[in-house]
Amino acid sequence: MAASEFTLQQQIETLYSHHHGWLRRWLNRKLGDSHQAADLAHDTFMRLLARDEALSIQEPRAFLTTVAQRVLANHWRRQQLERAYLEALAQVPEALAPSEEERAILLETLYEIDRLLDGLPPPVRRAFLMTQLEGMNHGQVAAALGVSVTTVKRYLVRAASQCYFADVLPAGA
Amino acid sequence: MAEPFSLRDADAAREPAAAPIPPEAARRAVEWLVDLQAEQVAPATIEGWRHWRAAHPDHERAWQRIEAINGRLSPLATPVHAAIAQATLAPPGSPRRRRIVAGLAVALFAGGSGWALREELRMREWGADLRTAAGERRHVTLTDGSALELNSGSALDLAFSASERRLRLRAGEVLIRTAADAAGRPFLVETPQGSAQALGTHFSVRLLDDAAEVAVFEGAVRLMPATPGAQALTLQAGQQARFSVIAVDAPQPADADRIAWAEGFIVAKGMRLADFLAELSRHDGRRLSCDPAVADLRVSGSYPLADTGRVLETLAATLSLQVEVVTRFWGLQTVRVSLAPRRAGA
Repeated sequence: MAASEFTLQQQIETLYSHHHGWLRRWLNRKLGDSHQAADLAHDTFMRLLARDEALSIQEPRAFLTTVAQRVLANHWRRQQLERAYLEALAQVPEALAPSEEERAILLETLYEIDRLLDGLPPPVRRAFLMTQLEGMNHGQVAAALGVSVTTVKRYLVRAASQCYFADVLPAGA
Repeated sequence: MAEPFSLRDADAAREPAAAPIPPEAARRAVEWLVDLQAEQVAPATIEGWRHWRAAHPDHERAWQRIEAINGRLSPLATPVHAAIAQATLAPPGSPRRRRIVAGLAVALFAGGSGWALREELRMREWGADLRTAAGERRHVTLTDGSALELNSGSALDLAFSASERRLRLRAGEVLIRTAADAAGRPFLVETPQGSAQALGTHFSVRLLDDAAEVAVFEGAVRLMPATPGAQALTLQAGQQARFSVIAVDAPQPADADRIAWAEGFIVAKGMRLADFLAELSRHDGRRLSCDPAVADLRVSGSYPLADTGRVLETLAATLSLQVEVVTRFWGLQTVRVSLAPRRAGA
């Protein structure tokens, strides 16, 4: 374990010294913003550091590009979510509008739930949000989605398995 | 086993190192979670769930994982935040996105909102001149000498001008004893459904889900639904009536027990249990509901509002019922009290 951590650390240092500048330029071409490119390059290396197995890399730049593409996809998804969030906020009557602090917390929480439910089929995700956010019971969700209560339960089991136990339960359980 | 660079790996790695939760415990925890979200949760299910949690440390760890994530997601739990979240997470371009948040405004201003939204409104600073929290009642004397009793979970604005004395009731219920005004200004209570004009009087105005209800104990009150041209109606002492935006319902005899809250009591004379609980929940701050099988049981007596928990205990004892407190996850309800028939042998 300690040995592989050491190896990983060394691998990443090597990657960083040889390819960090290149990665930044690559990201900058995608984003058209050098500050964001610097941030995402940083995120890419942070993501590598969080791994607990040594990397097996033959093509360092192809490898970095693959990881950076994930970081980039995540970045765009967050941007999209933030836009949707601001749009939703704009429609909230003033009397009910959350405070600045609440807004920031809410947005972070939305990123998190979006990430937790990432990849679930839309009806599964909707069923889960309906029970959790709207407090709807199985019958109500079934009626809203036009499916049986049994199907709703299957959806909820699938969504909850991913949301709470993505690390131990197989996808699609 | 896992794919080479999954997004999820990074986050899993940041959690404190602990033995992984066995898949079987995780699977069962998820099943319990889903079972506990059913419409009717049998007491046996809740007991079974508690039993399962206590049976093995892995079970409890699996459940704690759910609790921990729900805790992180709890900022989404209030009705307004939940609506914003629904709208944000709806698929891009779906009409649903707009509808959900637009629905908030309608619910708020048309008074057609559910319990949860009203609950949220009553808890926040929303600029009402006078407000009461759940379980709180308030006596106020206005500058003209009129006296108000504000019931639990109520809010109103005062809009006195040179030409009129206007109250805007935004939530809940108010009992009013008007004083004669030196300037002869009319006294009006405005509701989403229309207004009620006092004609020298003692009366109450209460907002229901989609109607306003006025009961007159002295003098008279003129009810004017908001729709232009709608028929107004004058209620005399001893009468009460509901009105909508469009029309006033036929007057009924006024029920003085309905305003016993001003003295700190609920007075029930053969009241349906379901109605009694609806009334009690205004003062309790939690949502109280009951099993349909016992909804029609009758409740009689005078119950102090100061301790609603005691009232529930008394009811449970006299009607042989069982009170369960169910904590919801990060959905709308956080606490649910229900009354269910006591199981044989319990």
